[in-house]
Amino acid sequence: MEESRARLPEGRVTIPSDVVRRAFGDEMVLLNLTSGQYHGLNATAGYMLDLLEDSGDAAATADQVARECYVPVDMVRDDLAELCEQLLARGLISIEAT
Amino acid sequence: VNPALLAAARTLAVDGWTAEAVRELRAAGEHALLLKGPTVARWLYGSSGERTYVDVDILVAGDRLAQTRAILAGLGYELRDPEGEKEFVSGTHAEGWWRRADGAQIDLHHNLPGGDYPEGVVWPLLWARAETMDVAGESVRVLDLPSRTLLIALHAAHHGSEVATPLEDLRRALEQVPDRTWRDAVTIADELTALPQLAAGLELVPGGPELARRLHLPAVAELEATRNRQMAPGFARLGAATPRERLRLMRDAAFPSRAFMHWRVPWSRGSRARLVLAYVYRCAWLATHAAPGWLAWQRARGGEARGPVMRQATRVALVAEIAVAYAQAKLLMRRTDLPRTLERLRRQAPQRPAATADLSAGARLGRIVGRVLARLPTDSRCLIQSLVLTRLLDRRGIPSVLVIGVRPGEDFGAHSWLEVGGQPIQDAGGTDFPRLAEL
Repeated sequence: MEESRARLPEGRVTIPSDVVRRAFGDEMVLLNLTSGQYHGLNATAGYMLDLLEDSGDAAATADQVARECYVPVDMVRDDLAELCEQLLARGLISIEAT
Repeated sequence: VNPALLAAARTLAVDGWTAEAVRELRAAGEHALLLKGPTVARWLYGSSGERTYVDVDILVAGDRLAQTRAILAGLGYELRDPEGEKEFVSGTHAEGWWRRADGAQIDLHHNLPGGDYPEGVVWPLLWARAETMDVAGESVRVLDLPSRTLLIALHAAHHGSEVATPLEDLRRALEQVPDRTWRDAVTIADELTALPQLAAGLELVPGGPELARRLHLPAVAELEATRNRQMAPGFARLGAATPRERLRLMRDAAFPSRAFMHWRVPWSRGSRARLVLAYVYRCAWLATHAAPGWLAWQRARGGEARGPVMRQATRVALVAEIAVAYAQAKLLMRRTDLPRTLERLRRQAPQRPAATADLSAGARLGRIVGRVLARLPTDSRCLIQSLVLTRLLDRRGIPSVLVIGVRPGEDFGAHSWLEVGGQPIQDAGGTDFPRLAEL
């Protein structure tokens, strides 16, 4: 039986105002001021988050990453969907219905 | 024509204009308090007719100025030289209106002379205490005796030693008004943050400094320095009193009259239980504000407390303040998040830029907070230290920024510290913790 896979969010992706973040070299550190939890992202995930914030569109972000990194878009979509799922669970992004 | 007769005729005319204005205001549903004129003349000069007056001085609530102006305009008055009048009448507490047809003059006050007293307190306090006097056949609301006594002193302080009439009014008030009325005047002045002006007025006349001592009014400079700092003027007065008088002052502060409580805590009206609860609330308020009030007084007196007992008391007060701030911060962090905790701890939220003195005062407080929390059985981590210090600085009107820094990588760590004017006043961890956020 096929394992259920994460799906790209369909609404507009935003970063809540109570989340602060900064890149330190290859690592991005995020702090959710509401939960008080710190989180770390590697360079690729940090880059994806920057793109997500700029465009607000997960599908467009996946396309751009795939184009720039010469990686199959389906693979990027899977990785980005999983990243979004984890960020959402930690309150580091929110999805607004469009 | 005899000038004295002319002055007397003018005085009678002023009474007529007073009655007319009050009648019109009342008909329109507006309230006004007559400040001087016949209230001072009859009270301090009797029927001698010696004290004449040339205009009507009325006080209205600041938020009713527009309506009052419209009514005066309807009576034929016009604003007289607004800019020049402001300078002449003293700043911004009143404006002069006059009527071309008969030369009637009204000084329309929305505050008392000589200071920027809180308008939200001035009107309700004086109105709640007001009495009624017959002026030219009209019932007019006037200041009660303690309020009038205070006004006489403020008026003299405002005009200084060069203007004779306010000084003569004050000299007579000193002769005729008993100390208990002066004590009530001090209570009102305290509410209005007008103690410095009251003390300054008393310095102008013979016998005034002695009365100030009997009223336990410290030097004007000390009162000025403690003005607008909760409870600090009260400590300044305690400092100027004898040990026995201190007990009485403290009793009066904790248990003022029922009428005072009804005015100060409106919900205390209606039942005995409410009144008792209001007294309990007042005592609790005094207890929680005593430490910062004491410290503000100490700072106002010129920095360090004098004498070993005072220094020890100051230390105890500061430790108590830190303990209270710690409890507040822990409770808030348990109930809400960091931004809201900071918002609550910064109740006064000073908007001014930080001064150089703030930096040294903040750093000193930061060291003390660190030492105290380290010795008490408390959480003394950097964030709670920063939160406690935030509260202490806010109480002193010092603006601060909470900085959160992180050490990324496998050896991840986080650190927080406070900054005043862009400079750290707590250990910022050197370069180990680049800043992540400023709150």
